[in-house]
Amino acid sequence: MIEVRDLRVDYDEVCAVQDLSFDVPQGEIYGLIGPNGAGKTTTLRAMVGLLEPTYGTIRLNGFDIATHREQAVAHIGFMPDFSPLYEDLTVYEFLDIFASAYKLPLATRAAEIQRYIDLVELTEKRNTMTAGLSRGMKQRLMLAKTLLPSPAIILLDEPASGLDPHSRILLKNILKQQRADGKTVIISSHILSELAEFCTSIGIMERGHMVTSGRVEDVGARVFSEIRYSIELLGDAEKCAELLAADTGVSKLERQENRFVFTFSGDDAAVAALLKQLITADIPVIKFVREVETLEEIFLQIGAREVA
Amino acid sequence: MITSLFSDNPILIKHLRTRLRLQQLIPLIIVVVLVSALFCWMGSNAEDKLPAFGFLFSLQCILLFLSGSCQVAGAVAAAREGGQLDFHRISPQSPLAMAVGYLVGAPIRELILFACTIPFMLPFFAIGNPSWMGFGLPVLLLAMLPAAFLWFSVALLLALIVPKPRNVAVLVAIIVAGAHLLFAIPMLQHFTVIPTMISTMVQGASTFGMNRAHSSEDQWIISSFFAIHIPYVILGVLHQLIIGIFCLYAAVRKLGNEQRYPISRSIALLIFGIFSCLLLGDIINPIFNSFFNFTDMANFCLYAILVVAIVLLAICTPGRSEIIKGIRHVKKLGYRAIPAWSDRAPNSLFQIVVTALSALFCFVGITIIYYLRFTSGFNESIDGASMLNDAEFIKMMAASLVTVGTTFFFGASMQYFLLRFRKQGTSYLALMLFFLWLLPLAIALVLTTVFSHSSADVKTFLSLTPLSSIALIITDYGIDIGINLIIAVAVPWLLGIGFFILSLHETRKLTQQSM
Repeated sequence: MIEVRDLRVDYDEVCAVQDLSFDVPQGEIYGLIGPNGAGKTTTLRAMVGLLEPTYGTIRLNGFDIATHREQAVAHIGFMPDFSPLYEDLTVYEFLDIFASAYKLPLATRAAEIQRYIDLVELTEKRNTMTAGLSRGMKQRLMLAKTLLPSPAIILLDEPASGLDPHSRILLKNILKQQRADGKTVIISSHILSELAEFCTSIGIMERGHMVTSGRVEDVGARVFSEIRYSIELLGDAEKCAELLAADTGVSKLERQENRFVFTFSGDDAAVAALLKQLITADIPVIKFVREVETLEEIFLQIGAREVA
Repeated sequence: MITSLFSDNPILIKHLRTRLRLQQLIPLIIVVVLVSALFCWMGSNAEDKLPAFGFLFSLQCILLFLSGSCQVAGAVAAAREGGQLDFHRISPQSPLAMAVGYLVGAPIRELILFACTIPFMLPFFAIGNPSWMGFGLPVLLLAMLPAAFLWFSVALLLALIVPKPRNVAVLVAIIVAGAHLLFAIPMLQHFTVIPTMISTMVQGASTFGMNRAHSSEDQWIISSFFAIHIPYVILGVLHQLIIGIFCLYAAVRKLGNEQRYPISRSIALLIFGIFSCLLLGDIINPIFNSFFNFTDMANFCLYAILVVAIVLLAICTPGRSEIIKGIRHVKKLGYRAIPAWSDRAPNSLFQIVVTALSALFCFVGITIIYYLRFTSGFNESIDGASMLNDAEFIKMMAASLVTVGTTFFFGASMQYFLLRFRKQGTSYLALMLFFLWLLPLAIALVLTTVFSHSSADVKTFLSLTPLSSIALIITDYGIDIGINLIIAVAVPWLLGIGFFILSLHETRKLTQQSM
């Protein structure tokens, strides 16, 4: 769906993004994470064709942005980190001009616009000039504009900045719905809690480089090199502790009353065998979970490595 | 194709919405109609209708050209600064549709107000006063619309290329007003239809190298292009359309991609060729009568070619960072050097081609002007014909050498300064040009006015700078084919060759560093 290869972008003589490569399959919500100045916005702007790369290729929905720009951008919804609205238009008029840009059918255009106005909860502001909207409302209007043409690829640059808690929940739910509809979303942010709840994949950028990229659990596994599991029991924790301590794959075992947390070095078959062993031993397991590291943990681990 | 440019054009729709809100439009229409009616009434009560019509025509020019162009520039500048332009860039609409949106949409209010004034012109035309010098209402309107297209395109392009677009509307206003006030000069008559038409009405056609058609009912005034007699308005409209189309082409490129050069090198050469042809065609005009002689024509020809060449070189010379990008790009692709004609390649080949073309146009122009003296229409009408001899021809050719050398020097020095001094390169180049081109003029002026020096000393300083040396060689019949001429020709060529070698050295150094 999205394929970025060897992307390099220079501003004058400063290299903002260097030899960046990553893929995002369809239906993923990909979080582009990194500190300020890491090159996230530059990457997104190059992906939509607003910045000409020094070299590298970007393919969106199968179209190379450099050679088939009009076909490529037809599938993109892009929301920048600020809200460039026409302040002398009403909310409805603003969406209407972009509906015409994307050639939405005239018969359903008004209904579609209204649907997205309702979606971002700006129904009461339909005929208000955009100059009169609060920052959060402007962000929501931008989101509606981004989603209006129903793009297959949605690129969001710091979308939650300026949003109140309610709007953030709204954004999260909308993005989850987009994913359920088969859309591919790339969302950049340096606020990890923003991304943690809905990102399925991440790419961590630092100083123009992609440090790591992939599904959240895979990145976590790569970063931490060991997979952590937790077990919760209804009772009989002593027997479970003995069994776990005896297993050669288990290490770093921690116990908190009826809950055990440990790292396991075996493959999936070994994990299944361990669970079977516990069940066979009549240990009342009520939870056996592969722990996914939080984005903060992953990011801090990567950051520490980079600094080192 | 054309329908798709207008239908569902978001920029057009945006401006139709915002600029045609009735609560703002209706009061303006009332004001314009009342003012136009006032001028019409003034005309009906005056014996000479010209002043009243002049006011009405000025109002139309202000509405259409000045206000309309400022609106185009302002709208584009605001969208560029505010980021809305980027939204349009990434929506599936062609850059040409965007350009049409701005050209038609942004000045839509002014176009409507202009349309409201047209009925008030009818009484003037109905009674045939003032004298129209052959321009009827349809001809006047035919001339005004391409002129509007030209100025709107210029405004669109300027708003897209200036580094800080905030005050571009002021710049456009100055350019449009300046063009209407200053450019009504005969040599540029076909580039400036409206000011020329106004001046012609006031001053008479013959001054501007035009003749009335034989039939008094004929609406066309006859002008000349390469000594071929063609109706003036047709020539003017063609000239304006050609410039307008080039501006539109450059603007469309910038609308497609902010980082692109407004023109490619191939198009730059095409522009150079077409402009030179237009200029040569315009100045070779036997209807100029005694207003201009052959040396004036040669002067104008050489300076005009020099200005066009310098502008094109300035546009197509890449900066250091662009060249570095080009080097990195070709390195990634596995090539050894940037293709010499690429936008990101140093201008070495391009400036050699521009210099060669400049030489061609200068020599062709001078040769045509020289041989015009044998043409019956010219030697009867131009005073200078009898004075043009082989010695003058050699001087004109020497002046051409200065023109071509200056073109080469400018291209080479600009590339060197941009390569060597990064962002400060333009400032250092301007500083150098001040010392090389303006300072000798200032010294010559001081020597003449304050110290009353002999003309020989003054001429030595004037020979140092092409701003004066070209004219000096052509027009000063007393100049010796001696030291001053050698200075005038040698300085730009030696400096040009020096900077060319330096720029090649800098390019090589940069390539080694970046590889």
